[in-house]
Amino acid sequence: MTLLLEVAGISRRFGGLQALTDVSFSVEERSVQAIIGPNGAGKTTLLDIITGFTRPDRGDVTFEGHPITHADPFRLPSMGLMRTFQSARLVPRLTARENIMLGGHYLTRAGFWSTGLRLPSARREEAALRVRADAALRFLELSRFADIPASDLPAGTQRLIEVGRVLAGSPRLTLLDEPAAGLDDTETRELADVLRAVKSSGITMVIIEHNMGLVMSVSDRVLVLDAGNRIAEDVPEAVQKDPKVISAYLGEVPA
Amino acid sequence: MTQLAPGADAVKSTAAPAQRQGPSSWRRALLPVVVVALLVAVPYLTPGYLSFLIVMGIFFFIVLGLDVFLGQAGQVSLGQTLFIALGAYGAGILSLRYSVPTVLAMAVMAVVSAALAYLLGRLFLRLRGYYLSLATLGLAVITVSLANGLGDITGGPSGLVGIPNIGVGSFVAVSDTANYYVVLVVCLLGSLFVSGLLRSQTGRALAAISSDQQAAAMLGINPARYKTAAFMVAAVFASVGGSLYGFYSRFVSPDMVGVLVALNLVVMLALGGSRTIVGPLLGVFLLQILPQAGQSVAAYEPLLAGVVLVIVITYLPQGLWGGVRTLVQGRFRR
Ligand SMILES: Nc1ncnc2c1ncn2[C@@H]1O[C@H](COP(=O)(O)OP(=O)(O)O)[C@@H](O)[C@H]1O
Ligand SMILES: [Mg+2]
Repeated sequence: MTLLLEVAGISRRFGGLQALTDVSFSVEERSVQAIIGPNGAGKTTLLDIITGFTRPDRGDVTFEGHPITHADPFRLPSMGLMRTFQSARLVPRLTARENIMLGGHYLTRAGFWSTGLRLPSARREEAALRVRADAALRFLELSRFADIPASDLPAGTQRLIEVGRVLAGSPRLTLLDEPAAGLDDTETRELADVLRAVKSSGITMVIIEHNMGLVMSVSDRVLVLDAGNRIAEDVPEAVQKDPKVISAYLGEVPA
Repeated sequence: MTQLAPGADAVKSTAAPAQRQGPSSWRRALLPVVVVALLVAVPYLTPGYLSFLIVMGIFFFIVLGLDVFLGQAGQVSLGQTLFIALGAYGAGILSLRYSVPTVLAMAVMAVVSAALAYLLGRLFLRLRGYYLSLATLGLAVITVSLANGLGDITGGPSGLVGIPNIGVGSFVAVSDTANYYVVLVVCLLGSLFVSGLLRSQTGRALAAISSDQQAAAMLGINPARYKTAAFMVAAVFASVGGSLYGFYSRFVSPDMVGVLVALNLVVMLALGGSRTIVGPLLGVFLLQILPQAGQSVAAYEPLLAGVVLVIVITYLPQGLWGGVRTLVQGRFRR
């Protein structure tokens, strides 16, 4: 087993608020790492730091042995790393399909010249992107939304379209920020199936999630954050029984 | 599932051809043919309006380039007159004083404009919103002062007189009809280029940048690179448009590259509606026809344009053409 992602000693302060304190964890290739914790625990901030949106005050992020702590976000997809957002950030005026096609954008070479001049190479890439996007739409059973502008889709569907976008890019590692938020029980179960299938296709995942059923059913390891501190990191069954975790979630003092 | 396996090869491999052969495909092909046939016939149908149409075509071409930068990438440039001036004065001076063939002079200035846009892009495009607009407005102010001030080169306030007509080899476009066809060909090529851009991955990447730069970056899109390239496209279109204007009117003066002209280009785009081909055409037409409506109207042109712009931006953010399209699509859906 090789380590794909290593997060070492990350700290970050926002004004007077210590959002993260000395957080470390690592993710093995082809595994699913869940990050859980109460609201405001620092989960999204941690994801933002891994993907270069936020710089840490201290600590390092390493992807496949390359330091990416200070990498520009736009370089990450070609290194093999993509993410989704807690509330979907699609292009409102583009259709669901077009948004998903953007997931494979980093694989293309055609620029202003070749697309403006409609060169055959650009058309081939365009067609291939479309095939990828349609495959992702079918896989997510969202084909009926293909031609609808993203702004007209419900929030839950938008988040799934963002997952589709990641599928179209098929990165080595994908980071998902609360993909099940806003989904009903049936949709959440379908999402769990999707995530398991994504995992078996060889994509490593880091997934922030509140839904414990989902976390327990898909993840190999669970990192628990509380007020910016790592309070546990273990296999799901062990985390579930950890008194520190239980007290963080239920607000009780351990017996 | 195999489609989703990691690896870049899937995009590069040959994919199924795009399914375009719908039952209505002959109709989609017919419309452009009819439009082009009509445009070709115009000099014989309405010979009296040729000079109006030529100037309109030139402005349409310039606005088309701006559409890539403003409509697609969502960045406002109020300084396009800089590149119009480079194209008009540059090509004029090269062909008039140094006997450079007109088309070559136009191409040289297009390259110069692209290079300058690249440098300015690196400098300006980190600025956001109003700051970018202000910086580009500064370019427009500088442009007109240089056109006036560098009298030895530009002819100063009285302008550069005696620019030759455009031509290739022994063919010189002297008549309005010939100039009309030159502008028509350039506009058709420009429309094909821009519509190709808009409907491709480049258009989608620009749309992603204009709606959310951070999210676009996470898709591997380098916002600075795309915005600079879009600015270069707008600059080249403005430069070529400027050159054509000079070759046609055989004269360039600071009035043609005034601050109001730079402003009008943005008004034309906002008025007609960006991100389409028809939108700019409509906007240019309306703003060009205004002064023709009579002397009394001409005096109030800036006022009228301003008022219409405020109304359109408030009630029809996608411009007039966008409004019409929404209306029509709503009809058909029901
Ligand atoms: N850019 C920011 N500026 C100031 N405070 C922030 C910023 N981003 C996050 N925070 C704060 O950091 C804490 C952790 O936030 P976040 O990482 O979003 O938590 P979670 O995703 O676990 O709910 C919260 O208290 C939040 O208000
Ligand atoms: Mg969060």
